[in-house]
Amino acid sequence: MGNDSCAEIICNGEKLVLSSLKAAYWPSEKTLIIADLHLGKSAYFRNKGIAIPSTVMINDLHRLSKLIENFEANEIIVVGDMFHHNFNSDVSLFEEWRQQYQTIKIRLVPGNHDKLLQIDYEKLNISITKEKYVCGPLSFEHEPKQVFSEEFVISGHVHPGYLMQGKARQAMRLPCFIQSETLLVLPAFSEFTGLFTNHERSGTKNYFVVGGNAIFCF
Amino acid sequence: MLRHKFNEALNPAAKDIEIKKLAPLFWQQQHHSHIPADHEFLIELIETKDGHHLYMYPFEGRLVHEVMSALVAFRIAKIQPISFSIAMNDYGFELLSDQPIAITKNNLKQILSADNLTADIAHSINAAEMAGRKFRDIAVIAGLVMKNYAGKFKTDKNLQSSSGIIFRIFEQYDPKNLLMRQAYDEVFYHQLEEPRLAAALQRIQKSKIIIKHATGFTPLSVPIKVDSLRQSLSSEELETKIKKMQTESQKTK
Repeated sequence: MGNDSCAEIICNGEKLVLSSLKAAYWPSEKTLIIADLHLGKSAYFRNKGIAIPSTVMINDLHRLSKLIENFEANEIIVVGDMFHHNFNSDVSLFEEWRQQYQTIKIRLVPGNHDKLLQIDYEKLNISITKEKYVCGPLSFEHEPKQVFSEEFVISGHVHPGYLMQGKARQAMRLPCFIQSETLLVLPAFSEFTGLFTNHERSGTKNYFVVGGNAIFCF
Repeated sequence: MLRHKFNEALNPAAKDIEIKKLAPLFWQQQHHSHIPADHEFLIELIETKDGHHLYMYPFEGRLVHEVMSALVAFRIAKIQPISFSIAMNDYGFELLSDQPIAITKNNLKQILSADNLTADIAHSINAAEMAGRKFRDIAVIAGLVMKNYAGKFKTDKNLQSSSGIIFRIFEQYDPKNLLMRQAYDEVFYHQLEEPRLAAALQRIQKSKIIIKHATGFTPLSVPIKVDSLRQSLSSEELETKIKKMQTESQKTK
């Protein structure tokens, strides 16, 4: 795995590997699970007169390529917000990237930002699921909600962050995975996103904080 | 002026009503630590459960202290990997760390020296991320972040972001961005007043340096300690810092 570290967790009997590249990998299905890619966000901002370079997204895609190659994944499940808004030049860059990975299936559980047309999704070779996608013991849904006891849901949407406070008034905010008994919330994959740290903290939750190339359990 | 008044406070025949009223505080300061006279420079080292505090009292005004504190923090951080939380007011500044701060009479001369000033200031500005805060104003004026006033219906929800995120993105992906350069220039030229800082350092070099170890906060240090507008500077690796906080949080569980 090079110098990127991983943590293994068990969700509803299934082993999942959390990578410090802000993705989860499901070994038995050879599937990568990511959330909140926000492709096209930088071009959308440029469109509105705010000059954000596209290299942000290109770097995100490089990271995704690295994950695909490291884990030898066959499939990617995106739990929502794969695209920031409409089709734009950033999405065309993604289309080029997609050419290299034609054999990999991409499944998108739609989120509140995904506003591409059906024809665009077809062109990009992305299959859209229902609002909730169930695959064996795991379910995927964009927004984390309270769920029934039998299910284990993997979500995104909130861009979770962990606020660490140390001695001598030191504090750091870093992206994290949140694992509870029935829910796993993934950090936002895109670098051009903020962090939400104001979530409820209770004792039953595990936090996997991504700091640099490593992952830490809190 | 302040330095002059402090000088007077030591004199029991002081006439000013303010100085008379403040006499108990001055007495306490003198008892626990020291009242710096005109030709002296006071440094207080205080250890509390918060960590290790280093106070310096140059009496040069907030703007100069902002830069001087970052400079001193940067020079100490060069000696050992350490993280600081920095606070300042009009008469002094505080460096707070979780580890003991290696400061002695010998290395003080170097830490407070006026040599190599321009380069060290530039490094400390970067290290203390001062430009990031300056960038907030610039981002709002340039329309990079949307500010909605009360009652205005929000229409551009997809354009929401914060100046912090944009600054981070620019630093990494567009380092020549003019608006970001503007933030650096503003910190450097408007706030810095390098000649004043150099003059202050030279005055400190000439004064008698007094290092006091105190067991509790002194009257001079309290107002700085409670200042919540802080900046930080660190020369520790990110992963070491996280590991430290991880062990601390496990202790409290």
